[in-house]
Formats: sequence, C-alpha cells, structure tokens
Amino acid sequence: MSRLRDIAVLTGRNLVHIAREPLQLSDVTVQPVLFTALFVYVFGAGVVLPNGRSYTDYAIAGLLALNLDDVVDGDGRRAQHRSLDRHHRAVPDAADVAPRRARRPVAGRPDDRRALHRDRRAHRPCDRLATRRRPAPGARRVVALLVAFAPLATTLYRRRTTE
Amino acid sequence: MLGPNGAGTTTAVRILTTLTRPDAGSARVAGRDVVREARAVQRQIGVTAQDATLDEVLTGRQNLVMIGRLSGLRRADARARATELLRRFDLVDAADRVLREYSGGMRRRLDLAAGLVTRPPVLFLDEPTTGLDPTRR
Repeated sequence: MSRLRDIAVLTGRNLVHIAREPLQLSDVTVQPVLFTALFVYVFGAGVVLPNGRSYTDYAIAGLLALNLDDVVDGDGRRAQHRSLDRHHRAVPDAADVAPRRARRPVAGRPDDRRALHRDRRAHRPCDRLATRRRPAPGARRVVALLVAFAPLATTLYRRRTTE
Repeated sequence: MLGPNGAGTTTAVRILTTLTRPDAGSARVAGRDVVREARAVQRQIGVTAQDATLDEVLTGRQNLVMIGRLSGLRRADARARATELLRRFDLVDAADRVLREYSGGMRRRLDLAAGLVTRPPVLFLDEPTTGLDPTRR
C-alpha cells in the first residue's frame, strides 16, 4: 500500500515537472519509443540466440523489468532516504522524479544555478544512463525482476513460434 | 556535525545514516546497528545534508508535502506539517514559489525544514548553518 502511495506521489510530482517544463514530456513519450526501437532493431539485429530464439522476446520483458525497478524503487528510495548522493537529489525521476541529480552549484549565485540547470537539462539522458543504473544495492532486485518477467519472454517466444 | 574541511564529517554522517557502508567497525543509531538494521535506523532519523536535496521544479510547500507523503503522513497531515514548518522557518511568503527562485539561504532553511517533516527522534545536520546569514545562524 505504501508503495502505491509512493508511486502516486511521485507520479504527481512528475506531472508537475511536465507542466512546468514541457520539454520533459519527451522523457515519457519519445525516449521510451526511441530506446525500445534502439534495443529491438539496432542491437537486436546483431544478437543471435541459440535454438532460433529472438532477442526481441527478451528485450521487451527486460526493458519492462528495468523501468519498473527504476520507477518503483529507484525514485522512491532516493526520495524517502533523501540521499546525500550528489547525483540523486531528493525525489524525484525513468519517468522522473525528483528531481534530478546534481542539485547544487559550486557557488551559490543565482547565475551559477541557472547555468547548472541548463547544463543538466542538456545532458539529462546521458546523466541518467551514467548515474541511475548503479549495481548495488539494486542489482539483486533487477535480477529478480528479470526472472519475474521471464514468463512474459517465454510467452512472447511461444506466440511467435506458433504463428 | 561540524569539523574542519576534509575531516570526514560528511563520511561519518553518510555511515550513520546508512548511505555508506563502513569498511570496518560498527555504529549504532537509536540503539540500532547501522549495517545490520539499516531499515530500522532509517525510520528513526532525519537528515539535512551539506548540499540541498530538494526538487527545484516544485514549490517550497510542494517539496515539504511530498516528503511528508513519502514518509507516510496522510495528505492533510503532510499539508498541515508543511504549513507549520514554513511558518517556523519564516518561508510563508515564498511558500508557493518554485525552488529555483529561492536564494541560497532560503534553500538552506527549507532543507532544514524538510529534515523535520516527520519529527524524527534523531536528526543529522551536516554543517547546517552553511549559507545562512549571521542572524539566521
């Protein structure tokens, strides 16, 4: 129940972000499509699995698992524990919350702050890839989610082979 | 927590707040081991870090309400607590302004307020007066 409440709270926060910074709308619209296309058609074309299985069957389930982990755990944990990590400030964002990362300029002047904000927006996708997927302590959770989504991958494979 | 630059105050705070795992030794907060009972420790503490940890896109009030909600308060309670803290830290006039419009001192005060939202039995303040003017200190 508390997880659901956390999701609702952080979803509300994300909607406020989108309302105030409409460019963030791409985070939840263009980016997921872009990354799915990238992994399925670009990386997937170069991956050959044994027994004629398709990489895409696993890619879709894996992407779902990773996003679920990020939304449910990553943001909520950062928000609740108010991490001191410079790259993950308070609450907030794969659908993202909170705020994003490096929050504070080296010097406290407003100009510096604005410059930092511009810089962060420009590098947001890279920043996310570089800082959000930390191996610990979420690695076990990601593996568990991948295992949980394995039936989906199997179902996709079976449907494809029967068609 | 105060100390000379490089003395390790932030590291000590990170260990005591379960954000960093110690290489050796042990520490207890509110009677709980910070390694073996990390979850229990987290429920007992509030943290105000050296750097601001709030959402710059939200208003001061929204930040406090969100932290309260994520900490388990009901919506009405979180709002009431946010109003109370904004008044106590003299931020009522700026309560509905987006955080990025705050001055450094105002951010610091809001950060301190955020650490008090849940009335934690143990509160860690890592150099809490940084950025505050002499009167506020």
